Amino acid sequence: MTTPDSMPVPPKGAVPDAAAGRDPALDPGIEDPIFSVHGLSLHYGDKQALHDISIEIPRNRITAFIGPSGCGKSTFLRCFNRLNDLLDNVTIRGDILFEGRSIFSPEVEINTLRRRIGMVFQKSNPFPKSIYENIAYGPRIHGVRDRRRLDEIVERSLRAAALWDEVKDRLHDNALGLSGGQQQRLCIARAIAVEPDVVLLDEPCSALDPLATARIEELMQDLKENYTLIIVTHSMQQASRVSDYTAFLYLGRLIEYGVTEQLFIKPRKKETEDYITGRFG
Amino acid sequence: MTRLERHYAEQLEEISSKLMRMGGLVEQAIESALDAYERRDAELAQRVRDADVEINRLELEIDQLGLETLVRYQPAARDLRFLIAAMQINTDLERVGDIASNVCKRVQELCEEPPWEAPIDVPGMGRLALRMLHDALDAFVSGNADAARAVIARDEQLDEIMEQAFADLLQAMRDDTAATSRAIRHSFIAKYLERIGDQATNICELVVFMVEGTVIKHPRLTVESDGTAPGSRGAP
Repeated sequence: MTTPDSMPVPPKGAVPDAAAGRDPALDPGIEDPIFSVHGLSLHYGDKQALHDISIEIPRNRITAFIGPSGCGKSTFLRCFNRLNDLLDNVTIRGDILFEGRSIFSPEVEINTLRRRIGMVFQKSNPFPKSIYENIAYGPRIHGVRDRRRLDEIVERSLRAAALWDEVKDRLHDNALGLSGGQQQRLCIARAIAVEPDVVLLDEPCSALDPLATARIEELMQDLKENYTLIIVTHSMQQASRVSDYTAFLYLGRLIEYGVTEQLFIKPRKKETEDYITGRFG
Repeated sequence: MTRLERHYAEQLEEISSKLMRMGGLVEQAIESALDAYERRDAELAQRVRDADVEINRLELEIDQLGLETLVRYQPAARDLRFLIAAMQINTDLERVGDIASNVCKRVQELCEEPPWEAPIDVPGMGRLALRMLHDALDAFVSGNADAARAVIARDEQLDEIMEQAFADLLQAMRDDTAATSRAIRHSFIAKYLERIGDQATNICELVVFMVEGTVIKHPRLTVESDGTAPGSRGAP
């Protein structure tokens, strides 16, 4: 992956503001955003997957990215913790400021970045180890060795992920013995064990039944007190249920971004209207 | 379009056409009620009352269709606004149907009494109210928010006419106590006709919501994002 260093990083406060003709369909007026994305474009080889996206993500809120398959929402999500770095042949232009600093800056240590910006994937992917070890793994990598401290982290993380009561008597059983919904909550517990600021969720419920989905959605509401959540979802009902802000992407472009209720009741763009009313293509 | 998408579109279409049919029946009920008043035709009044069942039936059908559409398709954006507006207009129209029946009951009572030179213009008031309702439904069909706002502005005229009618009827009662019961029945009718204007106004407010997504009823109140109006929270 390459990040052209010619891209100037806008200093904080130099972001175009209301006076500079902000587009209300793209700018719900986020105060003190945790992320500011500026003109982000991404190419896989010759193919451009993201086009000049600028967006601000609010802290301690749930932001949903919606759009049809192939619109770039998962690719975009993976930019926030530089997961696309792992792919060959990817070129990114533009910038993402996290707490005011570019995540592409050479001073940024990628493991620290990914500790602060955790991720949960579509398919739950617990390690083939015990429930306890799944949670303790991250903190250990980050230098926590004291057993009592690890016990505390495991309990706190499992409680935060609303899983503690279900697994407290079998912490040393293999995590692969948990149900799908429990495994996904374990992955959320694992993500928050390292005390991130942000959790990225890529279709976290697409393999779950409605009850397990409801538990994850409920959990997201609890988590947003302490974390910023960004969720990619195919389900517009899920986006409208759980998120505070919704961004609609189409063909790699950000079409509309706004307060969720507003976007689902009275979208500003025809493309958004057509997509959420199912009259697309 | 997939089969489901087609069914969804048809369902919305059917709600719209049933609502229009209901609107037509309601307008006809008001017209007939005014005819019955002018001609002192108790039989016609009875026919209007009997026909109200058809309006009520349509109300139930539209309720059912609306509920089904909500459950099956969870509409959003313009479809959601249309459906919310249509279901509330359904209730408003059913109520206008009831009002037409109420006018007819008073007409039947008046037919039992000697003819009376009322000091108010019932047919004139009725035509104003009917015009408002007709234009409100036109605004709904054409999705014209400006036309809806223009109808709302006319409601004040009907309110003023009703105020004047009350004053004139009160005077008539003072002048001729033998006419008291007829005057009271006329004041009911005046109030009913004024209510039709209010229902037309409601419909127009829903049309503005449907078209623009903005809520214009109760302009002095705003609603917080948790759904409460400021100052509406009770003591803890």
